[in-house]
Amino acid sequence: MEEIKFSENPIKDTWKILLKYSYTSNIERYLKETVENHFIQSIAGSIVQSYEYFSSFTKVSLNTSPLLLYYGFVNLIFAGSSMITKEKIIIKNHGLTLALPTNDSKKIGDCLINISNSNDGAYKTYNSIFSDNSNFPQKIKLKDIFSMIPELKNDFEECYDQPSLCLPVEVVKRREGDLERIEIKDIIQDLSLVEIVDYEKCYIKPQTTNKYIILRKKINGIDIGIRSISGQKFLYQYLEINNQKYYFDVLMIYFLGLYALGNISRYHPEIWYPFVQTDQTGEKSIVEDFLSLAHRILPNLILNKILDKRITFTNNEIGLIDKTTEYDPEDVKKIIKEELRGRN
Amino acid sequence: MSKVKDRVFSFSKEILKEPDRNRLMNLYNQLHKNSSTQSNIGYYGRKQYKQFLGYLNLNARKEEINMNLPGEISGLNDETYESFVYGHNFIRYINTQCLAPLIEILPAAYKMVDPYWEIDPKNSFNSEVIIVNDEFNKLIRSFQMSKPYKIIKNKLELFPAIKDIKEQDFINGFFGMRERIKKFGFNNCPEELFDIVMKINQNTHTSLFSSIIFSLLYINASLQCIDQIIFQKFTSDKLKSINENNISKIYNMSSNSLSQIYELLTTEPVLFCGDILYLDIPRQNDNIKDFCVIDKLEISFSQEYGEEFKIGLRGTDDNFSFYGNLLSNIKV
Repeated sequence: MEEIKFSENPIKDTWKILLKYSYTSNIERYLKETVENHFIQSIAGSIVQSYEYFSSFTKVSLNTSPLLLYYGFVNLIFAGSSMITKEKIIIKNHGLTLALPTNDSKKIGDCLINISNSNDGAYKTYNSIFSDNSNFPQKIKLKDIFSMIPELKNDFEECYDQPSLCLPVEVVKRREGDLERIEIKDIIQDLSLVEIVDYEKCYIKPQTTNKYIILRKKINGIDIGIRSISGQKFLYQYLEINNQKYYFDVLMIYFLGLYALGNISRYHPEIWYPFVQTDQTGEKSIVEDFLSLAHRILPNLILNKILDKRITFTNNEIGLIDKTTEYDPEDVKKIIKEELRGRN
Repeated sequence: MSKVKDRVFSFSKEILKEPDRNRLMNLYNQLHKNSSTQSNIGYYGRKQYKQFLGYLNLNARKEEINMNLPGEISGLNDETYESFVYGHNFIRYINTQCLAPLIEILPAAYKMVDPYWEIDPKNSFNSEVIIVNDEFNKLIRSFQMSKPYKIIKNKLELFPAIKDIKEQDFINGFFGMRERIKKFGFNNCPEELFDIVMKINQNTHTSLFSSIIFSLLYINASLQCIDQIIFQKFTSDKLKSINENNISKIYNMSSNSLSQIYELLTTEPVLFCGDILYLDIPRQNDNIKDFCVIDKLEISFSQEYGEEFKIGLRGTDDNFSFYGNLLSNIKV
């Protein structure tokens, strides 16, 4: 279900709704059952702390902003998980560790995130709540995380000279039947290597023309893919690591990325400070965009999960449905019949 | 009594045992290769929608056709010609056997119900083919015991004077109604059909005559499908299926006084009207599964939208007729 809200400041208006759940009565009303007071206070406190971390993000430099955003997100995802599951979330550690690149790479993107299989780690716990995929790799590079952010696609491919895992989709609405398509020029790897996550749940066999890969939905297919902030649809490709194929929920993608950047900025200032001051590779721009997207998107995504609907903020006029440009083929037939009757 | 449709499929499996079947299939496939020198007669012969007869007829008329279109139609080579004559007479034998009792009681019927009479009234490619097979015999028996036969037999007994109706009046009635059906197109029925159906069980001369005409249309439709399935069994190993893996959009699923009709958009290459395919549409409670004949076909290709096939299908009933609804209100 989608709800469209008018807003001139989506970040502010998202938090306005989220902060309603810093009031215990609103939390009780949401949970619809009697719970212990400290459980409610943990949710309320986490939301307020999260808001303060997210607000602080905009007031500091890149030297410390990743850590603030990570802490803010950890609080927010804790609050969201608690509300959705109505259960106390037990977490003892991040469930992640970071390894700096061992080769000569000077790229932040080559940092390796180790993902623990421990049941009391944050990553695995939240993954089990928000993702339909319990399968994840032991290690993943930070740049692989960036490759899964649709809005970063073009800059990612330019910076790292490898294909993004996000494919932009054009949705074409026609009277004969809707279809979707991917422009061939948006795919920089060999077409035969393209493998879209959950493709067969949604589409029939694709067709390829000189310009497009044409996708048509199955009559009972489910919807797949994600939407960027602009509303454009993207499909994910699988991430292949050691001949295994993986895909991630968007919340977990940001979780991994924010953990890595927070960890590097906090525990490795000898790497982070020069990176922030003197990066020549263009990676800094990607990191800044990633953080900026996280700042905008994550509160919205958590709110969507809490309310179980997709909330879209727009500054277009709402409440007006204009059908003057639409026509029913039956109306056309009537017009033609009247015209012919008139002539006879 | 087993359904005619079941009997057709049981018999069609026997065709795989025919000694000439594989050779015929290979020759047919050769004919339709783009690189073949015979590919244009392959394409135009198929579009006659008369199984092997389409090719033979075109081959026989190639000089006449090429006078207006030089070099357009090449001929069939000897091996292909002989194989197609065999295939044609195999199918013709089925038609003859199915229709034998009908022709005895209503001789004029032959010119109407035999699918090949219009295009080849003189039976120009006659060669003796006799089918000796249990499944074939069961098919023929089943066909001759089907509802339209019973209707015609009973109406003639009820009103023997019908036999005195001039052959030309029967022919005019049959072909007149057939042309009306074609004129109204795939999605519609002749306006008068509903009124005729409402009065069809009255004991009037008009209603009795209409019952017989409808039964003949029904039988003709049934034979067209049987002929096509047998032809497809000779020329292909697989029956095309339209299902959730290649249906892009369903425009229409409905029923009218003639048939169950389906209109949909598919990416499955469907090239010829008259072909029979298997339709499998998934629905919440039960799937729609039907053997259908392609009645309407629009093919489009563009760089923008790819290749699309908009098809109109008529479902077939237990007697393999695509006019299944035509007899549904007629009491035997």
